[in-house]
Amino acid sequence: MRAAARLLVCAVILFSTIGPFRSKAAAAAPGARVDALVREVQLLEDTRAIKTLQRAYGYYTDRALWHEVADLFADDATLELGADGVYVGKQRIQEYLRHLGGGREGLAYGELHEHLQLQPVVHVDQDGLHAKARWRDVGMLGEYGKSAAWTEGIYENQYVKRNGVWMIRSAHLYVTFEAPLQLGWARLQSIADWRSQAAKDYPADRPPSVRYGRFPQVQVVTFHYGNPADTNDSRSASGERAEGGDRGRGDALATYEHRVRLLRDHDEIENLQGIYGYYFDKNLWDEVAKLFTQDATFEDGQRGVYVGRDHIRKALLLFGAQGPRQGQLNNYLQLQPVIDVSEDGKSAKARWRAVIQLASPNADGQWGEGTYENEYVREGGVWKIRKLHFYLTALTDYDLMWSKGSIAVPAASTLLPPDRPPTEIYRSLPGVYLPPFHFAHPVTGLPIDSHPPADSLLGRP
Amino acid sequence: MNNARRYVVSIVGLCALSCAASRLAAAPPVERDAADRLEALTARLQRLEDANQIENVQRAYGYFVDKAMWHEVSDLFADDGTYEIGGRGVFVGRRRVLEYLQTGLAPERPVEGRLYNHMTLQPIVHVDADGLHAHVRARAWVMSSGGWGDAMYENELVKQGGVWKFSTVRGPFQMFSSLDGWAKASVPNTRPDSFLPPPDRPPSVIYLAYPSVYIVPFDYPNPVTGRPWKAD
Repeated sequence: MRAAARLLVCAVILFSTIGPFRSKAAAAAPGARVDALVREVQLLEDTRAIKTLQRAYGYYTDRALWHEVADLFADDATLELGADGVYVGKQRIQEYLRHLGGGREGLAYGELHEHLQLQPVVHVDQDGLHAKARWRDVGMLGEYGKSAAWTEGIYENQYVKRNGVWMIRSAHLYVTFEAPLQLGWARLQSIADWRSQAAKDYPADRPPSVRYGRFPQVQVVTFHYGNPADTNDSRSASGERAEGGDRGRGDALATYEHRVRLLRDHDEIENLQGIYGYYFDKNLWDEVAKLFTQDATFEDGQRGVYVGRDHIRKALLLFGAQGPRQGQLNNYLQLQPVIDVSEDGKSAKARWRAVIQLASPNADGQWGEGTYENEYVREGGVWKIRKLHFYLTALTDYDLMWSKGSIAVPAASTLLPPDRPPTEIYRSLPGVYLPPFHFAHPVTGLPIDSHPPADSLLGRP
Repeated sequence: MNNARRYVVSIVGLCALSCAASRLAAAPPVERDAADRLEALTARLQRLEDANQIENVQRAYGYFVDKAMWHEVSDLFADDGTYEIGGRGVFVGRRRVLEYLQTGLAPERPVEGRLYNHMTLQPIVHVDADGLHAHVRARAWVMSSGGWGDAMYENELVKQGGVWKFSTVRGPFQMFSSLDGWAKASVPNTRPDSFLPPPDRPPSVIYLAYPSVYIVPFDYPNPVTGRPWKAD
């Protein structure tokens, strides 16, 4: 590899002295371009390290390994879990966590403390030493024979790199709900004091930094990022890509630059779809609509296809009025991405899934789940959604659940008809459907057969 | 890599044509330094690409299990890959993996009225220094007609012919309950004789899931302290 790398650099020197490549290559000396590459690769590694850190936090929390959890924090870090207040410093954090865990390390027989860390939106600062990330926390908590509960919340966390190691600078959880499984989230009532017993026994160093509003109250957790459609990210300007494309014809370093770009595109699309979900949760339709291209299509279940950003903006009203409301929950957790960026870096496809948690005033809660097959393009240097297609797998009443209470996939609206009928006809549970895969089998490389099962009503083979 | 190879070949030709051999030897220090740094970057770049590919394999596994696509699941394994779910013991080789799935779990492809979601989330990937072996920890949040569950995968992958495949899949249960919830009833674990077919090897570890507590060993050290995890 050493020889190959030397040859690549030598080639750049050569090309910079001959023919039509002179002007382009002269603009950035190979040394400077390698510098840029090193920075880009470092950024990708940092992003991955932060995901690993937060996911490890979840796995240790699952099993109440408080010592391991506390070791993920910087010495001067803070931890704020909802209304409990702010705990400052690694030692205080560990002691607080032990109090939360009943005064001991590890779980006792009958305790369940699963905390899934999901839907990351990660941004590393230009200095490469600080980062912020938004995460979704889903909890499955319980005491055997006594209680079981679902929880859901949003983390807005900060990270710092010290001595080459990323650690948590501040972890801040905004709890959306903590609902006994038998009751469900839709019937929750507001109470005056959400503090845990641990916080009462072992008070925080500082009071809560914000005023919280758990469900059924409205709570939109401040985003650490702006809408990417509004962002003028100079690093991803389209001009840079065009130049890279020209260089690709004659310049071997461009191969490296191209690979790095594809990796960054992958991460940007993961952020984009996560950002979409966090806006969707709170009915922030203006923000959601901006994430689509002008000519995008939007297809949800059997509602048909809405064409164009403006029509999509209107169609979003099918999911509720603009903005969050008391007693309304519209959670669409964005999970399990398989992202494939095209070789030219201009478009991408991704499969995702959503877990749906719904509530509206004076109605029972609902669980749902489905699959996305989406397409993305780069527009003005920013990745946007060109096609969103959500296949609803199942929707059910909270109390009846999948086995007894399937709700049919929503059909086209008469109030706001779509531009086109559904592209595929299927039924949600108890019907079964296999949404086509955009990707080939990752090992065999063969296309995946998603031929729909026989359906007597539709008369397909 | 094909592109890279093509470039290297064309570069070699070009070097010869433009009598660049002398230039190569006399490359100024700054460029020699750039070459060293580029070389160092090659492995890091490859590792990032590998990690993405490994996540795709793990997530594709989840999408396939959702829909009882057992052929597609078994095709994710290396020839001698092993598969161990819950307390059912170890199945060795792609054919036995397929037999376990088809005979033990369900017929191929989804059936009406049955939900079998195996939502595969929260991956932590570590690629070995050799670039040919990797570990992934990931969880499956199970949402099914039968109930709720959480399984903790600690899988190993091997890169063969440029493709990442499962060499070992181990998915111990953390919790499996009915839809009435885990406070009321929870399956402590399956056993090798819970249902057919029998495994090739007994379970690699004996444990009970919720309401008991089993910590699935972590394949990686604490990401901040670097200390490996040890059971007390």
